[in-house]
Amino acid sequence: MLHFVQHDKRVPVILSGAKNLGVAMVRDASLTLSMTAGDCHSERSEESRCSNRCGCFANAQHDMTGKQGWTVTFCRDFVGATERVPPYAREMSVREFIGKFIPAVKPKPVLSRQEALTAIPIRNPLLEWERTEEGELLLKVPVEQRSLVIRWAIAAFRLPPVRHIQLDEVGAAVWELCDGEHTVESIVQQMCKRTRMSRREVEASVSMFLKMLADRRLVAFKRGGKKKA
Amino acid sequence: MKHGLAPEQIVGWQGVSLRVPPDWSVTGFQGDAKEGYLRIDSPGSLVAEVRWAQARKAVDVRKRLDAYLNLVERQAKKRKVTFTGRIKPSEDWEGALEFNYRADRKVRGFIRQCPQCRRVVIAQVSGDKDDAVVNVANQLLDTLQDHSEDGWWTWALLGLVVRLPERFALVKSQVMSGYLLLQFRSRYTEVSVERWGLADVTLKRWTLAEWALQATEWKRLKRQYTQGDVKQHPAVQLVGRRLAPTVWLRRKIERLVLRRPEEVRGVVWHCEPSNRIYSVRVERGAEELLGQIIDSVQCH
Ligand SMILES: [Zn+2]
Ligand SMILES: [Zn+2]
Repeated sequence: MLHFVQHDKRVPVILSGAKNLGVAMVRDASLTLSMTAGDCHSERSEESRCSNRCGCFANAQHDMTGKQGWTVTFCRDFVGATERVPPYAREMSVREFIGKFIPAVKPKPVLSRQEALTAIPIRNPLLEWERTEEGELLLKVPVEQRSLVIRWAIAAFRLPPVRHIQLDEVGAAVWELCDGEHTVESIVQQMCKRTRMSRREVEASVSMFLKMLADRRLVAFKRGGKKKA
Repeated sequence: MKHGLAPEQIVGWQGVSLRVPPDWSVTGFQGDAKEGYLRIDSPGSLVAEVRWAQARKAVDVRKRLDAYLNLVERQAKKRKVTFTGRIKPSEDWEGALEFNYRADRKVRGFIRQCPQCRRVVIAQVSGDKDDAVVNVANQLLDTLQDHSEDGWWTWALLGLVVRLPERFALVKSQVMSGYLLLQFRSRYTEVSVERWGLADVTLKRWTLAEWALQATEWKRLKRQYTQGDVKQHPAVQLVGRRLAPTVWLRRKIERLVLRRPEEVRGVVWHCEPSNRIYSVRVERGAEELLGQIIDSVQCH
């Protein structure tokens, strides 16, 4: 379904094959998205935390009350940070860790499904991308290395200064809708029309896909208004 | 105010079926024909749930309902929510009881035992404070059936509708976005029904036949195929045999001694209006059965 293939001239990593990409439907699909948005929530409470780590929301303008919503700006280190900190390397709380084995212990997502659906995904403004002839999309993620040895290695072996991530046709369509104006709900509705799949299926896939993008800091979420888009 | 809900989508699971609005979807199921549970969610906060249990003789539905409501009340107390409930005999069904209760959510439902098949069913619709729970419950629960009249069960979820003889038990299911699999067995006959989404993307790279032979279960089989039509859609018809040597030997012996068929037959078709690919496969069953199952699939 939604392809998300990480192209790296050195090691091509296929994040998901077509068949594994299906998302289990018989659990609350929107939960995956809620968790993502929830992650942002938990990170924003320690504002200084990201500055040296993943840098994800280091410059975020947080509204600590959470009532008026929050906006996100990306810090300069953002992309380099993605390179240094592999996905999922974010520190896990003890509860989250135990929750992996005992679902009952898992911390509840901070956002409700409705809140998750009104969230607005925004692309990382530091990324460039282009359309391929097959309708796929190539994201160019700048590689920023702090380690001298690795920088030297990159120069010596003439490795590309950007890492490519390829999105398939459907993934590309979602990516283009992440323009900071469409809510998750409206993306889901548009993808419903385009793919002719049932709403639930699309909601599950799109949520999962956005979570993958967010885990790699390619998009972030901004809290939307109360009403449905 | 009573407004029309248009419960047009059929949902069927383990012999239980009901009609819901087209934008509702099955979000959970458990158990089997003897005892099980089905949950269907609306896009909003309304939820329909059905729980069933097969009984041998008449049961006291009042006792079961009390046990259920007591459980709900206890849970509500734990969460410090006030619980109010009401039970009254149903006007439409003899021996059935209707109930309403309110804890964190508003709920309306009924319990009844079918005099024919002896299944005990609790069905309910729940919603938030401002949902028209009673109205919705009345419309949806009216359509609930606990058994089928013709011996064929309707299996329907997320827009897939297929009918199989009652004797087939569900042995495996995968319900994912873009891919659905239901696998059934009755004695030695196995039936698999699959559905893939995004056919337009898939068929950009492959022809239907190439894809059927290389990307589905058929790649594991020694098979032959012909191209044709099914339901006025382009289709590939396949016949084959399992390759694994142990299976092969066992099946050969069975074929000789017990005269059981060893063929696998199936059809893969592309339904353009719904942008989906369907596959029905019958292992070691009658050819006729395959045709009947394909006929029962409502693909668009
Ligand atoms: Zn019955
Ligand atoms: Zn069709």
